[in-house]
Amino acid sequence: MRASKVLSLALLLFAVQIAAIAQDTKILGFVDVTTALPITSTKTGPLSFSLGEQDLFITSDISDRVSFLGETVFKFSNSSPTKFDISVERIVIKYNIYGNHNILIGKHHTPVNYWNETYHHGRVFFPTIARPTLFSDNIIPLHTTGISVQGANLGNLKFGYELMVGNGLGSTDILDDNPAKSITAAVHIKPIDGMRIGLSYYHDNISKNSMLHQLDKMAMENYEQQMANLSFSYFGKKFEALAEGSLVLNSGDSTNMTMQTIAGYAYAGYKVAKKVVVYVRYDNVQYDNAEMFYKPATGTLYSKQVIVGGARYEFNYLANVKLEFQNMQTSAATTNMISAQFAIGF
Amino acid sequence: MKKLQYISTVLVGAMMMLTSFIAPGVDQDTKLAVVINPKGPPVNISANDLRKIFKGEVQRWKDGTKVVVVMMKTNTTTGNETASRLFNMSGNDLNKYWLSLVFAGKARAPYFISSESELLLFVSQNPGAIGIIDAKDVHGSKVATVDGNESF
Repeated sequence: MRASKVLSLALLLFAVQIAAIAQDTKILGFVDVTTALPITSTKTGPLSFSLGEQDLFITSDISDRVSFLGETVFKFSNSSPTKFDISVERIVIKYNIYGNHNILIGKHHTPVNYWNETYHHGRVFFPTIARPTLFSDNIIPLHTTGISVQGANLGNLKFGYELMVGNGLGSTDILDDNPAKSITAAVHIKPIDGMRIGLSYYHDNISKNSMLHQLDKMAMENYEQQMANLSFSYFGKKFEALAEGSLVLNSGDSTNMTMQTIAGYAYAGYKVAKKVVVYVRYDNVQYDNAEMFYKPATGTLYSKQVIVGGARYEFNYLANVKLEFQNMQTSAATTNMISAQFAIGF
Repeated sequence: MKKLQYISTVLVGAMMMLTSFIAPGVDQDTKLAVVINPKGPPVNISANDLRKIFKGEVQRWKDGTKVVVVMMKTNTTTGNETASRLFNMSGNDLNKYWLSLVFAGKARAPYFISSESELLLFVSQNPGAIGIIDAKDVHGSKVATVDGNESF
């Protein structure tokens, strides 16, 4: 009985593989396990082990010009009856218009900067254990469901552009809660191998009472959000550098105030041995004192400074271990953390 | 006896692990050639353009045919040699580069192939295909010159 079940499963997997080859479909994945020890002035620990996101990533060539990219993440959720949530992170259907110019429709990583487009859920790609505060505090729009026109590697400077129109922050994956659409305009150049310099602008109008999907709260007034982003990245044989900054202006109609948030980070890494990179990262997030848009539904909003120092050992391109010390300062508290992460691609 | 068996098992395991991390060495005497499908790729390519093509920066040939990049796996001598000579990268770094590019949705992954005969067959059967192979294994396939040379 057991043998027949195993045989059936093997046949099923074989059939799936055959189908995948016929459609030229590839399935990849990423997962990580992290352990962390928090240290404050009053308490140390407890040491915790945590499962990261299990990320399944699918690409498929449908025709000569049409291709598909999908990304689904399984992650812990205390509010779920099973303690795990399934989240569709990306569904992108791409149509190649001509040359290096494409139209993309679906749910995308908003192309505001390098980290959001390049790493996102693939922890094995992350140069540090966790995302910079710019991301973890949800300052930038991580996803947009909509349509975009994109071009890449044009001319000697390898110019790239993307213009995206989407549902914006006041929306779900299937419905926009308000009539306004978000607009993202991004350009970049790659003047030398390994270097990319990018600039982007994001605009959205968010209606009062819209659910802000990323911030998990309701908009208490009508907002106009404008965001300018600048990024620089260089990944060479020995030296790595990544710096990104965002200036956000949130204007609320009932208060008639424009609140300014400035956030950014700078990362530098140096390969000290064939498989070992030592690195530092500095994050700084400065909220306006009157900032309401980013203020959590419960609790207080604090500006933050984070310093991270660590080392990464790369077994190969599909596996690495990172060991890191982090110091985070807010006006309310200073927290230190020692963490280690094993991240793989499969 | 049991102790000896244990030691030998550990030693064999350690050797297997060690050999799995050792990439094939770069052989400066090996000449590489660019094999192409008759439809799509030009017969003369500059070294600079070749690098762009194999870095996934070109989606279509001038005649509109889709670019299909084919490479030997980086754990083969030719694959490792291609990574080193064309990209100035190790095989591992090349795999990382491509995985990152595919994950970001910026390019379609190349076809990584285990044997030179399979690569030749693949290139001959797929319009727009371009591959790099050990020059001595070309066996009459259509070749593109690189900066005017049949091998590099």
